[in-house]
Amino acid sequence: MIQLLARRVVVLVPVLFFMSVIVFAILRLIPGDPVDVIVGAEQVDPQVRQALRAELGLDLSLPEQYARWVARVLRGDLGRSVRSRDDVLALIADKFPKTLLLAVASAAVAVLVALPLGIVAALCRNTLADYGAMLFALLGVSIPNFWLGILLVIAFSLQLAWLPSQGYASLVAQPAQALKHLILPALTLGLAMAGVVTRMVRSSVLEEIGREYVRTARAKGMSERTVVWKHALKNALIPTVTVVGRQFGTLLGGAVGVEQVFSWPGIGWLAVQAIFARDYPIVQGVVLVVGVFFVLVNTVVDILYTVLDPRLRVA
Amino acid sequence: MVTRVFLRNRLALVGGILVGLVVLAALSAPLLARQDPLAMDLGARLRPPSAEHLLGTDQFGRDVFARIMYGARISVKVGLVSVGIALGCGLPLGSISGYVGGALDHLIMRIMDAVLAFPAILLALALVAALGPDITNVMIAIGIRYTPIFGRLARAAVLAEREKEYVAAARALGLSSPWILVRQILPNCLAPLLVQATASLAQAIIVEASLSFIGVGTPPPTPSWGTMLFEARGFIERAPLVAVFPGLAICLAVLGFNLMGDGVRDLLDPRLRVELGPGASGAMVLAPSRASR
Repeated sequence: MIQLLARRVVVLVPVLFFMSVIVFAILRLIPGDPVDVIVGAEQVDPQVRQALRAELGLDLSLPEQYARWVARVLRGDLGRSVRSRDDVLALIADKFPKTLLLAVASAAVAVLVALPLGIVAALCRNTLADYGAMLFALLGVSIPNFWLGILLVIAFSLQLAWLPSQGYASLVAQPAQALKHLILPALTLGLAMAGVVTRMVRSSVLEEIGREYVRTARAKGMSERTVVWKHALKNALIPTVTVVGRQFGTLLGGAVGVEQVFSWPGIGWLAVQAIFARDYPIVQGVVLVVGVFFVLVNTVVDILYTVLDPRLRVA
Repeated sequence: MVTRVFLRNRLALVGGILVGLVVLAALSAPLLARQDPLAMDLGARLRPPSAEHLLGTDQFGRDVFARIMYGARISVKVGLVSVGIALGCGLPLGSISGYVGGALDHLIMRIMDAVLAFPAILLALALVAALGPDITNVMIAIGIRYTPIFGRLARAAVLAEREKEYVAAARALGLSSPWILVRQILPNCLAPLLVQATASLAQAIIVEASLSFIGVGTPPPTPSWGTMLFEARGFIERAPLVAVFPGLAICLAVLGFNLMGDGVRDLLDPRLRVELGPGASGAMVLAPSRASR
């Protein structure tokens, strides 16, 4: 087990290194002088320009710039916003939990929808229920989530006036209000994810109920309910855990569009505001934090997968 | 079984028809749309569908039907060019990585892992933010993000082929490594890449639409479906239909490419056929890439 953990961590190091290079490169990809792009057409004192250039590290050679930037990042210093002068890490720390809340709620929606749907589809294979579930799954992966969000707003906020169309409330201070605001964005992201998960649940249940141990259990005279619920399903859920974990990272990316639809003040919203303000330290900070989080979640999922499935430990 | 096969083919057929319609709209937009997609008519803003404006008008009085027809051009172009970039970079990088092996393989694959580690929309967003909001940069950004998906597939295919006897025979004949890789091995690796390319077209269309919807993709007034939704957002209370039609267009195009992807998979590579039922591209797309859209 320790060996496995160590191996996973060793694999992470070069990936994190190259990720840092990519994030570092974002500012350097700007055609021309990044300072010109950031200050725009404003008439700015040459001293201010020089100070900004020094703050962004643009007055050094590229390797020096990278070394200084990485050293700062490792100390937890992601720089300051070039507009508001706020600390980037503090900004992210404020917004990230809001996106995380949305992602967790969406994953919950996805699992609650996909598990029963996938199981029913597999057990009633080639029936109308199966085709219905697969049609739902197909639509789930084909509908852009921000458009689904707009449709839900039109239906539930504008036409029926049941739920607020945008905004956010703190789960601690105003729990009822917070839940009302959470429902539509979580449904939007969750239903899209449910499409992928439904397919996975269906295919892994089908795979398990075709296996020999299931045939043996049936031959022993075990009731169909016990065979399915006690034996097959347990094993079928292992790959499902992996898909849910992997999709969780994807939710953070998908949240960028959905946060725009619902004016949800999360990390995607922060990134888009920063892009419009040409506030590159914030853009870099968000991409780095989300990327690293994504990699760590995937690593945990991989480890979890190995823990859940003892056969993989030997391999 | 026969019904299943029929159903699956029928779904692929539906996919083919949808894709055909999108391509037709893209190619013959000037013929199909009676109005100019950029012509404003401030006296006819946010009109409902009528004989004159089949799908109504937007906030500047522009014909929504004409804009959707011309929008198909952007989606098809972005899909083809960005997947072309991803395939054009991923195939050589992945196959060299798999064929040469060793340190070079490690280096290339770790860089690819790093690119894949970022959620697609976020990385594309950051790249477009740096390069500038412009359709070419959108295609480059999507192309870069999808390169590792093709790279990994190409590498896996080359690794499997490399050990086969015909390669050993080619080596024994004294053929050079580049010749063996390009002329002998690669033709046998194309099937999974083609399958992935069809599936990626659908994803590229969604990413472009997302970027444009956020406001950093195709800049207005160019009629892109995502940009139309971005502009329509401010008017959904007065005219919800303006936000419905462009989304429907994206949805049908993506559905078409997804269904066609399943069909191409069944046609080209029976080994990849997954027992998932009708229209099941998800697992196949997920498995090699590890991270999805």
